Amino acid sequence: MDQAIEQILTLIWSPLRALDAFLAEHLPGQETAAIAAYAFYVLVILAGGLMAIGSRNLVRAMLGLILTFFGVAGMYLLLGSPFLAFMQLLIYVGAVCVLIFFAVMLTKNTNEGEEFKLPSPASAVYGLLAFILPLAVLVPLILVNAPNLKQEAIEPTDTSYLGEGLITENVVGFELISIILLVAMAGAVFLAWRRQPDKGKNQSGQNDPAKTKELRS
Amino acid sequence: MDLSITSLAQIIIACLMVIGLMVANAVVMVYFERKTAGFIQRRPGPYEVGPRGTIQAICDSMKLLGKQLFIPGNVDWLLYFLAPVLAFFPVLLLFLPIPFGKFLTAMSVDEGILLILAFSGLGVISNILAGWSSNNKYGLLGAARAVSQSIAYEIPMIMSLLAVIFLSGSLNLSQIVEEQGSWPWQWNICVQPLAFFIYLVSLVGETNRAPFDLPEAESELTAGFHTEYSGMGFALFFLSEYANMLLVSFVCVTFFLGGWKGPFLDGFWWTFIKAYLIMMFIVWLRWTFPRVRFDQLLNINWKWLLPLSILNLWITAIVVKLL
Amino acid sequence: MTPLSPLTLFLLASLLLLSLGLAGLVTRRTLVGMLISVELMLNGAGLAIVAAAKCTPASDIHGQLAALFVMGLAAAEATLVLAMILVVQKRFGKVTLDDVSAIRSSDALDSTDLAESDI
Repeated sequence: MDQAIEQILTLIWSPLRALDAFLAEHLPGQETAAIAAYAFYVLVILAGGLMAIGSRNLVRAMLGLILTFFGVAGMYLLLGSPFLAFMQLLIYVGAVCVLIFFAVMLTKNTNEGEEFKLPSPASAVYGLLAFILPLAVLVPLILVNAPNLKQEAIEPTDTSYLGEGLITENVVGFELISIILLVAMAGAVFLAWRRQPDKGKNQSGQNDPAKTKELRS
Repeated sequence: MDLSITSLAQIIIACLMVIGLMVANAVVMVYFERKTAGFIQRRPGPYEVGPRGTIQAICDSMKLLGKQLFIPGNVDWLLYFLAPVLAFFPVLLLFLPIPFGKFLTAMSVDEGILLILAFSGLGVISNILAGWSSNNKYGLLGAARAVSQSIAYEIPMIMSLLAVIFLSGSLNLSQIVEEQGSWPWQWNICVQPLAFFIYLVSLVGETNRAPFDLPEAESELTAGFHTEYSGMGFALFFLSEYANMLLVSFVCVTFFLGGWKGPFLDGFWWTFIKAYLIMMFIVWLRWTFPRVRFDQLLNINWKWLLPLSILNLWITAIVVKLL
Repeated sequence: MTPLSPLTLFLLASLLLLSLGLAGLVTRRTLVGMLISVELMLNGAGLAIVAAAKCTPASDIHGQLAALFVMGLAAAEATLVLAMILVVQKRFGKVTLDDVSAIRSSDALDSTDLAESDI
């Protein structure tokens, strides 16, 4: 039965496979496809970034941030690291954006907030300066000094090598980041803890049964 | 990433078939759920429209599509329209790595389960956008509850799947099915029963189904984050909820119940039979248990499921290392 | 000027992210808005690390693991920053930068002194 399905599928896809082989011979397709994908992802990153820094509504800024994360994940896919691309989506879109949303919700950033005022001219000039200065300084340096490494193609990394690296060579980093995440969680809980005023104890700090009964009812 | 025309055509055809599957699934599941609810509650369920009420779901969907789309004032139009779209379209992508048969995987990704988990996060974002853009107190509260429940139940889900990944040694879903055998005692459920149980509970919590459906409880929150949606928007949310249920059932079947392998004839029919058995189990759960309070819901996750799944992972790791 | 190699292209993309994030950090007036800009910059850094790892003879495993650590650190930092934003909101009543700056006027510090029960 499986062999029958396999043969049927091979039959169905054979004209497309022939088309692929024909195109691969006659057009240098790989590079232009990669350049087109790169251009698309840069546009996504630019659009998302502009929305993230320019939008007056903070939830729309978060949406722009999500768009940027997708663009960067696409870049990681082009660089042959699919594991990193999916982890980027899992960690950033799945967790960090939800955190940002809760912060926006809990700090009551409604539509009449501070962000809604247009930026003052001075602050707009500073923003433009902050945008142009790193580009002006670093782009010439990159263009002059970057090594012209012409390799054939960027190979995708097997995830098992990443796992091995985490457990054997970089195990200290792995353990340390677990500790950092644990400390961050504990710190966040502690910082946001709302201490109830001590209702169950009387003046001298001993348990007062009358007040405890009141608390329980 | 294979950018050839063959793989792109395969993905597009698979997406079209998945849309068909989602719509057919919703129609069947709506009828099945209402009939089951009726029989459990000792009443006949829908029986007027069509023979034994079978056309009921189609009539319901035609009514939903024909409803007047009115948008409440003061909503953020971009987020309001984006939320149902974000709820519906990523689910298409999630069906792509699932092995329906030996050669029937739309896109055999080497990190299949990571793709599924990564794009499930977009469903959470759509809840957020729906709740926020509705400009409605109940909607926002429902959205916050739904989101905290979803991200809470993701963790034991991931860890129980991780235990199976330890055993199979690969993140590729086709590989995980290959490692299991044909007979029920060769499936992963016999090797990882605790992980299966944890996954089943967190599946119900992740898809906001009863008894964990407080975010969309009608009596408490007037439909929660999709309060302000009617007609097409509501239909998209509804479709995506049933599609999500189907997706997690397929993942459960792939990881724990042997995928497309069965006792007599291996093939794609086994995937569907087992997945629909799990869906029947979820529907049965809905009409049997009362709704769980929200703090009890989160307690179950953080105090019971998470330690159990860590314990399971630890024991699995020790056993895998020693053997 | 060298011809555009893949390494140059990816470094330019990460530089774009850095500049956008910096512009946002300078322009934004709310703390949450500044956090969003910082996340943009961290993304740019991660992209630069992975590009440098994969396009050069350097070890690509170490580059990807470094980017993974950067992602984990960004998540931990976002958690703590958001908890601090909640504390600031509770203490100052609003989270816009002009009002939160306690160094500027000393009566802001006196009137909302930290009581014993706050900690």
